[in-house]
Parts: sequence; structure tokens; C-alpha cells
Amino acid sequence: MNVLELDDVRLDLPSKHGDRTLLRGVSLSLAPGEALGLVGESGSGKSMTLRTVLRTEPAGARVTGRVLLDGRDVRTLGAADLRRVRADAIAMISQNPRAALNPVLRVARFLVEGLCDARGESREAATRRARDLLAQVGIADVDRCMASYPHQLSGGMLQRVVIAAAVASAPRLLLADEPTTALDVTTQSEVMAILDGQRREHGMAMLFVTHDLELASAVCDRIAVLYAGEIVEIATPAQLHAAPRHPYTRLLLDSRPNIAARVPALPVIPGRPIAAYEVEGGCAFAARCPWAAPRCEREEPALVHDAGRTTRCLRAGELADELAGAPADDAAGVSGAPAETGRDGETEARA
Amino acid sequence: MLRFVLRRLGALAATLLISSFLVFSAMYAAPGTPESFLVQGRTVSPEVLASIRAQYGLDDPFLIRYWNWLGGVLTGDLGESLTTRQDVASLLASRIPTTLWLTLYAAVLIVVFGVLAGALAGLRGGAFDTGVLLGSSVGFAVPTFFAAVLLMSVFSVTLGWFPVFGSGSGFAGRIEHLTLPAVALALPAAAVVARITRTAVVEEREAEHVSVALARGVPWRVVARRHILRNAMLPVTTIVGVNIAALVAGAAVVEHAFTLDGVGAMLINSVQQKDFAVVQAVALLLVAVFGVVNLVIDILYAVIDPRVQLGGESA
Ligand SMILES: Nc1ncnc2c1ncn2[C@@H]1O[C@H](COP(=O)(O)OP(=O)(O)OP(=O)(O)O)[C@@H](O)[C@H]1O
Ligand code: SF4
Ligand SMILES: [Mg+2]
Repeated sequence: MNVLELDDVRLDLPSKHGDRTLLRGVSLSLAPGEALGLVGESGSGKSMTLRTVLRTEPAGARVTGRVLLDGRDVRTLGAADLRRVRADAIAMISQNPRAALNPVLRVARFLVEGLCDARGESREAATRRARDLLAQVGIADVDRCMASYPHQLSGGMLQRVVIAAAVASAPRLLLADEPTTALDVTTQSEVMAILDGQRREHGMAMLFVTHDLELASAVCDRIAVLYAGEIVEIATPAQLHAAPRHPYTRLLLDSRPNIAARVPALPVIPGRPIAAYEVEGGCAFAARCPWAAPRCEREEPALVHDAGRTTRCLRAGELADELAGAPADDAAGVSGAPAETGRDGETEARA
Repeated sequence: MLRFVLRRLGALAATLLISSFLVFSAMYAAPGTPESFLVQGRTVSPEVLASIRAQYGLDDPFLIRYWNWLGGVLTGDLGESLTTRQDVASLLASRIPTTLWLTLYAAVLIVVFGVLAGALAGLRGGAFDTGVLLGSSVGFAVPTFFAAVLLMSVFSVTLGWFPVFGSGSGFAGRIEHLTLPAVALALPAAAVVARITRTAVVEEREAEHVSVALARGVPWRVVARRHILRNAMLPVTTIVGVNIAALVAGAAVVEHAFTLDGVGAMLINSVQQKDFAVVQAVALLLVAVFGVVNLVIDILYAVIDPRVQLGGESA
């Protein structure tokens, strides 16, 4: 059975300007021990997807669809069961470790409370495990780290602490939301290696959110591409690089800086990323898609599973060969591509 | 820590010296003479007046008089009252208990009702929150003197639940006599404290580490206590402290309204009578209390917030 299964998850948030749709149908699944990357531009709904799993979405949000954790729908759990799932089965690592810890409490308290207060373990056992895990995530002076306040530690150290806390309860599922983005470049790869090592060692499944397609390719078994609140493609990194099936994925791959090809400037995806609530009928990507056909404006593509590939594009079949080719240099020249390319249009995917 | 406290006490001593000089100058410059109160309207020959002035050193130059007074204080002699001829120290000692009880009572009311109401309003929201917001607006807007008169007329005169004046003796007696004055004294401060506590709690609730703790399965009770309330107490401590220190001054109005024989009432009388020694002693006392309360707040703050380091030393 899958550890996690999202089935057509939609999220609407009431606002002053009427309801805003933030997720328009997210469907994905994670096998035990599998790492799934969730990539997409800023605002595409990556973090919101994770929040529907932990049920920490903004107050007032309406969520439909199913979120199955080991076959049990977390969206329908009562308060007590939800708390137990959060304490035992899922752990979250967020972008900014400095905001995740209470600034006036010691690191030891943070580590121990996830085991004592959340799971009812004894203080001694919890402290012992916390110390072991700190050593495992590469903290040299465990005593000092335990006794420190967050402001006394570097961002890299703090993220290690958060990773230690996340694996401490041996959860089935790890949710990681850009866990290295807030760190400086030299610590990024270290922390990423530690996270990956810990995940493999403890056999946890991971849903890994990132802007960085290259990083996701290196770390994950499969990658899900999110656009405007919906999944547009899911594939293994190898499949994705060799033969993307969705035009958006193709453009994401092209927009990576490519040292070998010595492209003078980063090719950017024409047009501005749109938010889920701006989609009105037809394909969400139609306004920016160089391969858009007239029917793309009218028909809404469904997420199709076909021969081991999962794609949401009306023309996926006809375009397969074209998209699999070399970087589409002439993409912008294809009819229907918007001419203007502003600051807004730059995709945040990077190597 | 010790160095910090010593430095602050030194600064307090300097403040006391300067403020005593300022109060002395103000009294000196104010219209009216002490001896006119001494003779109380009777016709007295210029010779008698002159002898009174000589006896109290009223004709000495300003600086000499200040110097004589300061010398006395430094040797533990606060002087004697011009009007009652009593030793100022024993006069103060007889008045301090009433004021002390009154302000302590009011301080307890501020902490219990202000902090409690604000914290519950922030945590619960809903109708209780609206009630606290409304109540604090009213409490803050009503002047202390008006509140005193209103409380007296309703609860003492009309309902007869509490005595109209006097400060009572024994614990129960004091509580009975001081309840209305303490409520009148605490009302505006409790309103401010409730409002600020509520805001602080609401702000802390939004903090990311709070949702992180909840998402880790830490029970709401624990999160509310350990992460929301504890952190919200940082700004609240300062506000509570400042308001309690300010009570010492507000006590004068309430003591006057309820005819309590406290230090504040004594200050008002002795200013009117230009009773130098008494005014000086009370003023020094108020400044000292204010300074010490503020010092205690700062120390407390450093104890509850590890990011604060006293005087640059490591906490
Ligand atoms: N609390 C909120 N209230 C209203 N709208 C929100 C809220 N949080 C996020 N949104 C909106 O939901 C959409 C998706 O946000 P989300 O945080 O999931 O994006 P993301 O893909 O994680 O982007 P990023 O890469 O910038 O983190 C965005 O349009 C954002 O403006
Ligand atoms: S459906 Fe049409 S517009 Fe949408 S991605 Fe496919 S080709 Fe482009
Ligand atoms: Mg995000």
C-alpha cells in the first residue's frame, strides 16, 4: 500500500475578492521509502499541497479530495487522531529553521517535546535518542548544542537539529519544504546529504518540495511537476530529462543555465506564471504554451496515466517526439507564444 | 549580573540626588511661605515670625538649606515636619502600610484581571475577546477620580457593601476597606495590560514555531502554555512593571478620594503646606520605588528571555 496518496485534492480559500482556488486537483502517490520531488514555480501551490497533508492549511480553507496516509484519510480524522498522526507518522522540515524553533527555549526542549509531549515517551529515553540523533546528523558538540538557544546556532546547525527532530519519531513520511533554500551555498549540500542519508537509513518516504529541478533529480526517485495548482507531469528524473511529455516540463528543463552549451543568457519561459485562481477553462498553461492549439483554450486536459507516464496535456501524444528533442531553441517562434518576457516571466527553476 | 545591578543602583542614587534637588528648588520657587501655615491666620508680631524663621532656618540661602537637608538625609535624619513637628521618618513609617497595601492589592488586581483576561481573550477569541476589548476601552477611558467616586456611591453608599472611608486594620479589615480604592486605582492599568496581553498572545499564536509545534503533534494545552503564553509574557512583563511602578503616583488621587491616610495623601497635604522635609522624603521614596521596580523588571526580563544580556555580560 502507498504511504501517501493524494487524490484530486482541491483547495479554495475565501478572501475579500471571493473564493480563491489555490489547488486545482493534485493527485500523486508515494510508495514506502520512496522520494518524490514536487517542483514548480513560486506560487504554484507546493507548500499548500504539503499543508493539506498535515492539515495546517490557512483557517477557513475548504479542501476536497482525499489525502490517504497508509490508506486512512487524514482529512476526516478527529482532533485526537490527527494529533497522533502528526506525532507518529508524519514529520515536516520547513524552509527556515530559525522560525521553526521557539527562540526563548533551548534546543533540547525542542527535540524532547516532540517525543515527550507529543508521544508520551519518558524524558530520559527522549533525551538519549535526541543526543544520538544529533551525533548522527553531524553535530560535533552534542552537549553544547542541546544547551544552546536557537540564536546561538548557525542556520545549518539549526536545520540539522530540525532534521534530527524529524527523524526522531521514526515517521513513515517526511515532508520537506525547500529544506536548504535558506542556507548558504556551502552548507546546502551538506545538509541535503544528511537529510538524504537519514531518510534512507530510516526507510522513510519523502515528499520533497523544491524550485530546483536538478536537486530534485539528484535526490528523488520520481518528480511531480506542479503548475498553477495542478500536477502536469509525473516521471522519473531519467524519463523527464530524456523525454519530457508536458510542454511546461520541457521549458523548465530548457530554462536551466547550461554551462556546456554556453548559452549567453538564461532562456526564460515566456509569459508570467499564473495563479490557480486565474485559470478559466481550458488548459492552465495555454497562455504560455508555444504548442498551444485552439482547442487548448476550450478543453480542460485530464491527468492521463499511459505506459508508465503521467501527463496532463491534450497534445501529449502528438508532441512526444518534438518535446523529447534537443532544447527547443525555436520555441518562442512557434505560433501562439506571447512576445513579452518580463522579470515576472523568469522561472525560478535553476541548477 | 551583579555588576549590572550595582551599576543600576548607582544610577538610581544619582537620579535620587538630582530629583531631590529639583523638588527642593520647585518648592522654594513656589508661592506661599511655610510660616503662614504655622501661624494659621492668627496675627503674630514680626518678632515671633522672625524667630520661627530662624528656628527652621528659613532665612538661610537656598543652597545652604539644601545642603543642610542633604547632610541630614545622608546621616539617616529625614528632618522633622514643619506643621506637626514630628520626625519625618516616623511620620512616613506610619503612612507607608496603607499605601503599600493599596498598591499591592491594585498590583494583584492588574496581574490577575489584566493579564488573565487578556491571555484568555487572545487564546479563545470570540465573544469573550470582544467583551475584554470593550471592557478595556471603558476601563482605560474612565478617569481614576471619577471611578473612585462612582464606585463609592454605588457600592458603599447605595449598596452598603464596603465602608466609605478609612483604611481598616487586620488583614480582613484592610481587604474590606481597600477593595474599592484598589479597584479604582487598578482599573486603567488593568485595561492597558489586558489590551497589550491580548495583542501579544494573538501575535504569538501566529508565530511559525507555534504551528510547527502543533504540526509535530504537541498537544494544544502544552503549546498554549509553553510557546504562546510564555513568549507573550515578554512584552507583558514590561508593561505590567511600568504600570505597577506608576501606581505609586496614582495612589495619591485614590487616597485623597477615599480619605485614606497613605503616603500619597500626605504628599498632597504637605505640598499645600510647603512642608519641605515631608515633601522631599515622599518624593525620594516615590523615585526610589519607581527605580527599584524598573530594575526588578529588567532583571526579570533577562531571566525569561535568553536573548537579552544584562549590561553586555553573557546571560
Ligand atoms: N495564507 C494564505 N492566504 C492566502 N493565500 C495564500 C496563503 N498562503 C499561500 N497563498 C497563496 O497560495 C498560492 C500557493 O502558495 P504556496 O505557498 O503553496 O506556493 P509555493 O509553490 O510553495 O511557492 P514558493 O515556491 O514561493 O514557496 C500562492 O498564490 C499564494 O499567494
Ligand atoms: S494542453 Fe495545449 S496548451 Fe496545454 S500544455 Fe498541452 S499543448 Fe500546451
Ligand atoms: Mg513554498
